[in-house]
Amino acid sequence: MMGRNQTDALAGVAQVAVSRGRLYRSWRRFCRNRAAMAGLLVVGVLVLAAIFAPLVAPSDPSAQDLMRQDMLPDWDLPFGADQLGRDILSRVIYGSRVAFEIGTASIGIAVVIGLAIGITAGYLGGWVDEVLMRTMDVLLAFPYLLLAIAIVAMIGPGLVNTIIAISVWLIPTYARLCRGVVLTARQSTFVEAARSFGARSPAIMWRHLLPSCFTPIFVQITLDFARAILMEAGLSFLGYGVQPPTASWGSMIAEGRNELLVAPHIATIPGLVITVAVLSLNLFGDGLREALDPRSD
Amino acid sequence: MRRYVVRRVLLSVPVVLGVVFAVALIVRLTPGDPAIVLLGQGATPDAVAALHRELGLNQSVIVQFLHYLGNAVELDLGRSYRSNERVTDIIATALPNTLLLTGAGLGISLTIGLPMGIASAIWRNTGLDHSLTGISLLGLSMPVFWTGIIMQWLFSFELGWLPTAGIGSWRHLVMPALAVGSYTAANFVRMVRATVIEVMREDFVRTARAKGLRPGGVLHHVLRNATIPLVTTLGLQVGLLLGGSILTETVFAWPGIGLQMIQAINGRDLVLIQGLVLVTALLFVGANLIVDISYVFLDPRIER
Repeated sequence: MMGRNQTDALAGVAQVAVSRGRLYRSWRRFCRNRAAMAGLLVVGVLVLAAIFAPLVAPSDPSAQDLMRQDMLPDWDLPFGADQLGRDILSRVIYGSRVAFEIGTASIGIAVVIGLAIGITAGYLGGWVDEVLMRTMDVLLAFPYLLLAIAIVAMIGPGLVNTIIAISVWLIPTYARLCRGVVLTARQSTFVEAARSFGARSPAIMWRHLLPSCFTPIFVQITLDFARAILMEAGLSFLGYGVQPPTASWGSMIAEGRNELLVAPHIATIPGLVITVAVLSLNLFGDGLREALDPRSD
Repeated sequence: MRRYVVRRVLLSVPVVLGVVFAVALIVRLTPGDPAIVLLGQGATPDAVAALHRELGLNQSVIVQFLHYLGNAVELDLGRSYRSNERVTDIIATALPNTLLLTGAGLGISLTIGLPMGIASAIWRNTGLDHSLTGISLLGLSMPVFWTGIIMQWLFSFELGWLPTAGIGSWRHLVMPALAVGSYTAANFVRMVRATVIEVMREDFVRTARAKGLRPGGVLHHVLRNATIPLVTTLGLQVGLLLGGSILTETVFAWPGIGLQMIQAINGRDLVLIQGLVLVTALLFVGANLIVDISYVFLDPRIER
């Protein structure tokens, strides 16, 4: 006859096997989703272009050449040149650097702060929960874009300030997401067990509640990356983002706007690039969500 | 029912107060002295101090907040630093334009989004569904301001069908409304699809099918039960529409709240910014309040 400890250990092993199997099945489901795979591929290419921009870009993104002002795309300049004769392809590549830098940093900040707020609110409950969540409600009561614009308008434009503005805008999403997960997880047996062993609140939050938030957060991050890129483009289009001469997709569109009559490609190309980047991130995120959905098992 | 409505209204008060306070705080934390902005760099310290007293800037942020709140209740949001116009007057001129634009955008979003989303859910995983969700995802991935610029280029510069920018006839409204509406429509398609699919998974739908109800009848039941989550999404769309209209108004020089906001920000007109943010947040909170209250009429079970 098996002792109780042995049975428990076996149950634990079975648990791990099941969860590994689930992850494996999720991965298989994801691979079968061609759109999601294509999204992942494009995102991968863009990330590599952003990281290795100085190696990939054919020329200096700020180098002006008035001989080729407003030049249309041709063999030498696949994306053409802008109103100052700068190579648009190189500017787009360097722009991806700005987009991914801002996306990564702002989402990183938002996830850390949002996790902390959500787990604390969900675990402690009571007035702490009330105060934190009502504060999140206030942030959510600002319509899309307005909060970020208001923040950047006050603290001034620039890379760091754009990151701050976008992360403040994203924090409530993560706080609410984690709070929901924690509220469910708090009732579960493993948290009760940990508490009965005498584990203290911070330890329970860190070791047991934090991991339950990972799957939903992972999906949210990919979709928010798309939102952050659109937001960055919007802010820099309005002139509140990264300042010239640094290339950013949004400000490239703003500059190209004045040349629409003579050289429509200047405004068109960066917009297409944004669309492709955001579409790929959305496809990837959607595929991930479907693949990780336990209901499709 | 009256208790429910009153409760909902009261619950949104702290949120609005929070927004006003947040804006007051942001304005207060802004570097740069508004008095110097008004008087110019060469102002004497006495003049600056006098203006501080006049604008109430020498008081603590709490006092300023309460003062602002007290005046706001009497519909006094102060005067613009730049033009010295009453902020309420500026809002009164700009607000109808923004409401027209967002209203038209919402209309477009509904007429495109609702049928597309329902069709997508009914014929799930067919070619139709894939192309509809594909189109909507594409729509969601295009920056609103860029769609606007491309339309300007195509329909005004190249084809000459529509006026480039400004306000006047219905033809001025077409492109801005399409720019705002297409983005929210794309979002709406996805929401409608997800909601309808969710409802179609429920037991009562299986029962309805099992008892031999014709597909049209089943759909009726499904849509009736999908109304509440759909109305909720509609409330959230208003936020997207309002935000999108800031960019769209800038592209099309549409004289609404968004354009005023951008001009106020560029001119560091803090009182005006404060008023405009307040009115936009009120619109958003108000729209969601209406959504909450409409539940009572949509679902008789919410009576308490």
